Amino acid sequence: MRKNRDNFLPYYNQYKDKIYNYFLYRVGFDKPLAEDLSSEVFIKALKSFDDFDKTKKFQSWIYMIAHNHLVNHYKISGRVVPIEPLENFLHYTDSSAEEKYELARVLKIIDAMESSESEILRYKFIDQLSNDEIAEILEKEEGAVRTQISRSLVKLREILNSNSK
Amino acid sequence: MENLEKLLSELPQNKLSRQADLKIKFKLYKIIILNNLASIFDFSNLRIFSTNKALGVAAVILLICGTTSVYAYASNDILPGSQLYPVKIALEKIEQKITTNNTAKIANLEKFSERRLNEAVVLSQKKQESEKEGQKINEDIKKNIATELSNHEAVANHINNLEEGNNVEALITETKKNDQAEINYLDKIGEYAASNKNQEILDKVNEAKDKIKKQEYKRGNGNGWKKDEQLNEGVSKQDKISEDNAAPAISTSTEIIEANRNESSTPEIRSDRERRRERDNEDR
Repeated sequence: MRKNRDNFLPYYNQYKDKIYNYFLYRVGFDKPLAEDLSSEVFIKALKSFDDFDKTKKFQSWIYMIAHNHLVNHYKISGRVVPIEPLENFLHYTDSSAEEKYELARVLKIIDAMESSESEILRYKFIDQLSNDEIAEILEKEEGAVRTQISRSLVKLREILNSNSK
Repeated sequence: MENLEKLLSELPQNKLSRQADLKIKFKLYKIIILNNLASIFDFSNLRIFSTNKALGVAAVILLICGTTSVYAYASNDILPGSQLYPVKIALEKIEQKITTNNTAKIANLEKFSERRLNEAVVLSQKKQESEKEGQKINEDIKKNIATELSNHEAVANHINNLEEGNNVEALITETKKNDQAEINYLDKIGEYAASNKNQEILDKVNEAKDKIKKQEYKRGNGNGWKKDEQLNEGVSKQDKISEDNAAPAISTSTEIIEANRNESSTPEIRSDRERRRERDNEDR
């Protein structure tokens, strides 16, 4: 069974950037912290790779580990709100200045939304997961996920419109 | 904001830096390698044969003992009196026993001789704190010198037994160089003995130096090489000195003399005599 761990590396190569991106958006673009968390998640995943159910998608499994790890991280260290998220974020996009400003504002609002709403929007737009994949991670029906995304988007739009007035 | 979904879909996707990637890979490889190593010694998997468990335990013990032995064998810090010293000597004996090639045996003996003398030099340097300890160190130095002389004699025996075509001349030249190195070691030991006014060791050193200097390697009548009789006399004395040493077994001087006698009456020589007798009988 233990020899299965040798097969872990192709999975790592496939998902390393996605997991890093997952953390980067959730820790206020703190690059070293995102790297450390990614490293810890992959080590954790490797150690429990024997228990991974091959009938399920690896992507869902690794995102679940990442989510739990992030929750634990916040529990231990306390949620650290970045002082200047906009400036940090500007390093990572080639968009125009106006778009960057808009994106930063949207992200800020998502951060401030209810955790279930913000999380589902991050999965959808930051991690670019399909509704099926989100449903598998959150262990919900695909229809329920679709509805929740739709509602969260409506809410986000409302907040954005009310803020711009 | 009408184009909200489009704007969100343009969020940049970031990639892990090369450096961080390598760091993580290194950690992962480390875990995988350690895991594979652990599975080799995983006794829970050894259920098919009951003896396998014992084999696994034996492997671990051998690994630990092997490491200790290798350390003992290779370390110059293991001196007479140390708990690991017998291991060192035993391994040298084994090495000599499993060596089948005569030239390699000679090289081994030269190596062991150098070690013994090196140990004796280190022992000579040791400050003799108590009289008892001083006496023990003196005994060890004398033993090492005696062992070195035994090895020296064994080298001569091996060279004597080498057949022509084994590049004997070159081997003798090399052996003579080693003899000079041995004398240099003995000089060092002698210097320390003189400074400590240790007449006993000084006498042993001078005796050993004399023997090495008198050593001659010359060609005998047979196919091999022989030593002169004078050396054989020296060997018989040396045998007595080195009785209780851990030196590799060597032929005694009486055996060598016996062998020389036997060689002087080889079948070829006997047949010559017989032929002469036959011719004499025919003439009569």
